[in-house]
Amino acid sequence: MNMDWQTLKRAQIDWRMVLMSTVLVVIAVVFNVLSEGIFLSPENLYNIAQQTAVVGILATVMVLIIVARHIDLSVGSVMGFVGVLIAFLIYTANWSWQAACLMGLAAAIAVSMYQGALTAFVGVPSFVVTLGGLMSFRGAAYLVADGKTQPLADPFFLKLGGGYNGGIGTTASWILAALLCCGLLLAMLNKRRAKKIYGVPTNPAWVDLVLVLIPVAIVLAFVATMNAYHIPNKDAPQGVPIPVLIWGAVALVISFLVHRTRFGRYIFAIGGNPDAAALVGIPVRRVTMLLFLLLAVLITIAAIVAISRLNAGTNSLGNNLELLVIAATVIGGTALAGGSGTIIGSVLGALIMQCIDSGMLLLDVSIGTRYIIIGQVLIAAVVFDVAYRKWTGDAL
Amino acid sequence: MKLKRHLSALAIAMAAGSSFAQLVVGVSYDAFQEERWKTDEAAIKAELAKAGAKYIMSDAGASTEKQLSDIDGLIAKGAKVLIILGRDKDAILPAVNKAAQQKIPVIAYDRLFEAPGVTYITFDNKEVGRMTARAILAVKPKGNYAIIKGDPGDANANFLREGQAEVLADAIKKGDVKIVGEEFTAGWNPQNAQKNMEQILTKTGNKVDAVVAQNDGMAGGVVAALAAKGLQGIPVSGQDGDLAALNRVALGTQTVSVWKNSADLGTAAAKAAVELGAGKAVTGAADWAGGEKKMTLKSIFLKPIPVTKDNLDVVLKSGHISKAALCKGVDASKVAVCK
Amino acid sequence: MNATDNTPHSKPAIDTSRCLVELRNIRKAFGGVLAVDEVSLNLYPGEVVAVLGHNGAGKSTLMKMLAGAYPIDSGEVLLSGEKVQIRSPSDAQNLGIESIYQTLALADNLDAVANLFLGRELLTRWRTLDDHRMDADARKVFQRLNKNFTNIRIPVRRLSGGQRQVVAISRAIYFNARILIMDEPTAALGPEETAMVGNLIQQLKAEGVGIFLISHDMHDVFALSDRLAVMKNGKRIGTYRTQDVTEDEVLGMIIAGKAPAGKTQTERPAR
Repeated sequence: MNMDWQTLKRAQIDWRMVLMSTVLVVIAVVFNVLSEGIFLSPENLYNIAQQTAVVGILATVMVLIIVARHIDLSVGSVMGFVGVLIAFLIYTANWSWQAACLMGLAAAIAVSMYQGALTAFVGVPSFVVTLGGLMSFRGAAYLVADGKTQPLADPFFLKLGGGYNGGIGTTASWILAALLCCGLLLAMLNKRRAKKIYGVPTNPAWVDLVLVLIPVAIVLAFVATMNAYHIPNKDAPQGVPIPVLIWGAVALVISFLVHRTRFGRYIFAIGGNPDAAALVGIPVRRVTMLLFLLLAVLITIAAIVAISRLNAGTNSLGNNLELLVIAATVIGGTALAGGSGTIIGSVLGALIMQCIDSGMLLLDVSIGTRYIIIGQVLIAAVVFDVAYRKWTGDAL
Repeated sequence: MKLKRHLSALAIAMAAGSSFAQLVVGVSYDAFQEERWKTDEAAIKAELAKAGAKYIMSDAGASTEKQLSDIDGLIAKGAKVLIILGRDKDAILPAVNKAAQQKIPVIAYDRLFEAPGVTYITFDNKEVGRMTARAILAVKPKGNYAIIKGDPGDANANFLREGQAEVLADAIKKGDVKIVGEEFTAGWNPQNAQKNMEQILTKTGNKVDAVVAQNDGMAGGVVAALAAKGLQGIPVSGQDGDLAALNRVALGTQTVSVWKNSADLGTAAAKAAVELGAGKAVTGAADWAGGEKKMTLKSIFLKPIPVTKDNLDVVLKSGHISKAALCKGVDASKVAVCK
Repeated sequence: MNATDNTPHSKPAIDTSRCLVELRNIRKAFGGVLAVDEVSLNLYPGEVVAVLGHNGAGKSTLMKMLAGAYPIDSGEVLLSGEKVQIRSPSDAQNLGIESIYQTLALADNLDAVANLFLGRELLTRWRTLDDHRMDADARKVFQRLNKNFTNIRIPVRRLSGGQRQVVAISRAIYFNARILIMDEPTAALGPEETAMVGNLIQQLKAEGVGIFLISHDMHDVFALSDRLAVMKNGKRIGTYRTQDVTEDEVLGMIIAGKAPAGKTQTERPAR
């Protein structure tokens, strides 16, 4: 076994991810000690998983938006608008939830195409376009139902938000875990085989094995914890909550887009050097519109999860959400200057923020102090990111 | 000779005309986001129209700074009386003082701010607090209570808390009631309330027997959090008479919604504005010095109505909510008014 | 994305008598400013034509139009005698025109392999990126240019100027350019790397590739080019065989716009 520094360096490990994961673990342990064991209880972890899902879903696509040198400040307002619209159609207009969701998607796409066209074709900075959207769509959210809360009662629809009936149960959870672990293992083996065929140097076997075992261990630990959460008056444990499933699926799909498709590659190219992208023939405007389209889809998914979790569409849905989403993205290592960011980073960023907030709530930290601390965590994360880039020579 | 007569006739006509100049009343709302303010506005407008006064308004969109410039704007547009739904009891004072300097009477609407000469018209918020606690105590005299409070910057949240504390004091002293969790909720936001409730439940191992929530929006979030653990049905309170909340009362997931018929409040404020505009004292106002600064203010306290399963007909009869909206999903055999 | 296949073009038999590129009366204005004013220029296979002039003389603009980066206002472009329309960089690439821009047109946050294939990625049969094939092909091309260049998986912003130049040049080689536009290729290079570029140019000439070379460096121009064209204020002052003129005469054209007395212009290649 060759344990030298060179081997590790060449293995293309992102040390920043390693550090963020360590920070997350440390936070969890510290809060667990301070809360006398409540923080790491299955119930609290189930809470956190559900509470983070909406921000997490939006953070995955926000990574791409920021990588492409854009920003979306209207994410919370548009999500609120779409959410209230869907709830209104179900509750007041008596549509089926499927039809209402499709209508919500249509609305989200219309908004995104409008904002995207202004950005891509007219050249208005996305900051300005979405700032206008932030205000306009908050107003629209109010107007949809005249400010009235739209409660939701459809049992299947409510499952999408987690909660009492929103876990998939132990069997399904283990099956999912097994599939995911097999998938990870197969991916690793495939990569080694392809590298051999093309004569590209492979990592030593032990390195690849360790790199695969870590995510496998995380998946198994997570599923085991979710399966340990048993609501007293139910006869079976919850298993993985559905919002987390949705979040996980979204993260996987977007990760696939980033690493394996031209669309993802072009997003990064545009973010890295928009002039170069145009010169080599990348259809920049078309890629930008597609990105906004993807954003619309994810906003709809997030809206559905949000209203089913709250069991209602309220006009204040998603208020200030854009700040949390952008913070999660940035804490996760996405550079605001564009060109750099990872999906797994956004997942970790969202979790770090939510864990700190939830932990402080458990410890009865007052509301003012909580907000101060979260703000400073964001700054600390960015400072660290800048320092890391300087160290690796990636300074932007 | 003739010219002089014409001129004096003209002067008299103008003087007479100016004494019939329409009274302009300016209303400054802080944010239209809660359902109820539409009802207030309708009532204020109706009462002002009856008195022949003109209604102008502004909406500060939840911004304290904007409310200050809104009030400047209303004064500039000729408002002779101001009705102000103050966002922040301290930050609003510069605008109030400016109005006082211009001899424009100010009515503090629903939310307290203290400045000399201000007329305070509200529902007795402390009484609202007492009513929420009373209704819960009646159903659950013994057990663990959680209290979900509103925005920390809103004076009403504290009045409500005081009223709740008064009613619960004996029970707490006797040890019948224990408060196991208490949180402010930024912006009165239902999603924040849901999150806060979830954490309280986790912290206490779900040993919560009743929740005193300070408004209906947040009560919705609380009920969602309880439903997620299969605990829906434990007593939950709210206020505002939101349609979704009244439906919950009929369904049995919320115990009480303290309804302040905001139409009554709007009418009272408009009446007072007309009287102040004519230089008269406000009928029915009494001295009160119960605020933080202990300033004596002329005040009118309207009585709220606690709406529980037993008196749902009250909200139906007043036209506040339709039977369809009240009874959606309700088993008619269990609730009389829904038959 | 465009549905062209990304296999490199096969090289046609070299007919050195047929003109490779004919630019006829090319005109371009930006707003009120005439950047390129009725410029005509020819390029034959296997020759290097240098394009010289002050900053703002219009040489970069002219070449960018050939590369598809700017649309042509009026005028014609003929490739091997046939009229072609070049409306985008992809059009130019499909016609076998490759450019090495002065700024190199590299995405700094992507690695060398990604940059080489940028915009023309190799795909698997499921239309996903074929990373491994691109990696392997890229390695071969880079090795050809610089045996020591192995750091192909780090973001190109961490590479030296010479290595970045290798990446940019590799595009032209991999995609079998018939016509190559090089804009100040040796500006940021040291002597060893400049020599490498010079060797490469000779190789490409031997293979019948026609090269437009934009350069300020008189030494490079006289060492590498067969003919040279001078532009000033958007107009072409003159085109001469490099061996027929002196450095001073060229400078005179660049600075004063004066064609040297007693020299014949030629659009035929130097043979």
